[in-house]
Amino acid sequence: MAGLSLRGVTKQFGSVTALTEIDLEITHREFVVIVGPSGCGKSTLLRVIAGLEQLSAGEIYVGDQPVHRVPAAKRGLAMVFQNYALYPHKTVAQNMGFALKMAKVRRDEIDRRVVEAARILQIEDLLERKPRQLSGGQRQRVAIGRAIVREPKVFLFDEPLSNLDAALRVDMRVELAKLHNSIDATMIYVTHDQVEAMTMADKIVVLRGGRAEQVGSPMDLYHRPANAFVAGFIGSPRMNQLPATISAVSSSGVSITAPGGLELSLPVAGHDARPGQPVTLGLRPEHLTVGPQSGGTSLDLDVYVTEPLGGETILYGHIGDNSTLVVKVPGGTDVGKGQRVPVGVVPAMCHLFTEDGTAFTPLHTNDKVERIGASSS
Amino acid sequence: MSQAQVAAHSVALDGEITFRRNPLIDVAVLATTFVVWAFLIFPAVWIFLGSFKTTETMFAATTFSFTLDNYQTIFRAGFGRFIFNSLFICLIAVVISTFVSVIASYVFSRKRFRGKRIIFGSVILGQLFPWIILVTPLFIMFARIGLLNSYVGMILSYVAISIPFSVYLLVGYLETVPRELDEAAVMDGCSQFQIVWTIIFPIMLPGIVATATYAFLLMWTEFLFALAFLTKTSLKTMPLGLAQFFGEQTVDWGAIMAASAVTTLPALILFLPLQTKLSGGLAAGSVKG
Ligand SMILES: Nc1ncnc2c1ncn2[C@@H]1O[C@H](COP(=O)(O)OP(=O)(O)O)[C@@H](O)[C@H]1O
Ligand SMILES: [Mg+2]
Repeated sequence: MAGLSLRGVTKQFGSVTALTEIDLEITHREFVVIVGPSGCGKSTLLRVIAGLEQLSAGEIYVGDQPVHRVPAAKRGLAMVFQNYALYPHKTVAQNMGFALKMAKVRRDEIDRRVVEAARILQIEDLLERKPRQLSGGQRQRVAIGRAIVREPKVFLFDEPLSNLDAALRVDMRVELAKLHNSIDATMIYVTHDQVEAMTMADKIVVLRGGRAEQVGSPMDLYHRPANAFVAGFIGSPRMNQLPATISAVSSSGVSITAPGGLELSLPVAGHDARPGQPVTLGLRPEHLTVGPQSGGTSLDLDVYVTEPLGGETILYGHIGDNSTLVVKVPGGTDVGKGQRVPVGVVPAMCHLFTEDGTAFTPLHTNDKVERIGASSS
Repeated sequence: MSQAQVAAHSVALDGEITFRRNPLIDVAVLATTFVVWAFLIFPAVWIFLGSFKTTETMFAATTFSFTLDNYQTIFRAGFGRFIFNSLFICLIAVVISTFVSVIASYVFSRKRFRGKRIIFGSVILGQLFPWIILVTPLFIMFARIGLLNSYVGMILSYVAISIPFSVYLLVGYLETVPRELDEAAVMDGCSQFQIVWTIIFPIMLPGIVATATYAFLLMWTEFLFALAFLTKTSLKTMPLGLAQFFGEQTVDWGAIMAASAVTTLPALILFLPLQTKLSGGLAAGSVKG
């Protein structure tokens, strides 16, 4: 079956290194999302896989076939471009059938596959139109249809939804997930949007500066980020990251002091940590609770902005020495601007990072953490 | 007054300028445009009318006696042959030059290679030479290899003079065609050649037609090379044919006007319909927007 594997994939543009030694195993039918900030090399990685850019070093396999020297069109991959890249002088049907025409597929077979793809994407009545007569969402469908028609082993998507408005983007996200369920193909999807990554992926690859920072299921990355960058990138609102200092290290964990007089004992492996060492404490806004605390540790938050979103409210406040803390609370919570409220912190839900960002390993895996799709085949 | 109303109305229709403007400014703009237009169009109209006048009434403002004599004169003098020669040389040269320029501009626009800037710069530089400097070396070269008094020689030199600016214009045009289209075509299994001719060519057609038109008109009215390289009457082009009516002692104005009118016609007939049909906008809808 057609999985995909990247081994030591490296790409240089002159003196610029866009990708450094990317290793990645993708199993058949997996939905892999490559996510990262702008300029981190996402498109380059996709284009290298597609064959639009030559590798500087490394190997790419589709199934057990090395493809890194195979021409782009012969790799069994289809690409959906960010800007759709529809041929303006061809009709929708001609756009979708063009690859098959180039491959000298019989006319009636081309028609059959174009109509079938149009049916899946509900664009049957657009087949005779030119791209300029279509809306953005329709163009996007045609671009996807052009990929489907080729019946590729792997779909490559480069930020396919970034040009659509917010509502349409949510719709298309669901449709793409449906499409992935209904066809027998692997999908690799590039985005800078962590929400798309979390909602669509079986497996997420977080890229930064051309390096894979972490590879794992959405829940893996959310609950066990390998470093402060991944922790900050995955999850919304962003994880609070506060400067802290180690006060003691024992076999049951690491004790720290943080701004606002916060003292915590975290169940993480201390290894070579020393008292006095500066660290970063990671607190997800949704893991903090507001109100009178029954046990546990708490600190005082001076709220300066509230963002009510209906179902939930985001609180922005100061703690101790003016560090900012963001807290997510249920929509009904009665907290106003200028109020001082107690905020509860659960040590098991905290993250701790060394000064260079590497996460401390939790002593026991959190049983509440589900593993989603990480090993589906 | 009514002009001002018309101007105000068209401004409102365009929808770009919504605030009230001083009608006097509109009148002034319109009047200026009209004067410029009149200056441009007047010689053409005057020549066209003049070509049907007898020599006696040619420069008279009030009298007009219609005649076809001038046209008979030029066709008796072999002008039909000149039309054929010009059409033959210019059309073939335009096709070759456009073909080469499309490929060259694609390479300059899309490929990265060593020395690209220098090579592109030298193409542009080729445009800056006054042609008169090129005549002598070309004449000697053509004389050596037997290309004087030949269609091939004329076609080659016209191709050579039109390629630099054609490439220059087409590269500019290609920059507006998104590269993703090329890449989509690569993914769809096109060879380089197929990308250029099945994807890029149709998309750039408006730009190519505009460029080819310009090249054609340049060749169509070219005099210097034709004068130097063509001495046999049977091979002469229209500008040379036109020149022969300027005699040493007398100038046959009627014939010159008729010949000028005939010279203008093929260019109009060939390119006017194309121009209106292909006025851009083809690339719209390929990518976002
Ligand atoms: N053709 C190229 N030539 C030189 N540098 C490039 C080229 N393509 C991409 N890069 C560089 O590689 C890096 C990654 O780019 P890209 O993959 O487009 O980022 P992303 O898609 O994640 O925003 C950037 O620093 C970019 O400047
Ligand atoms: Mg990109």
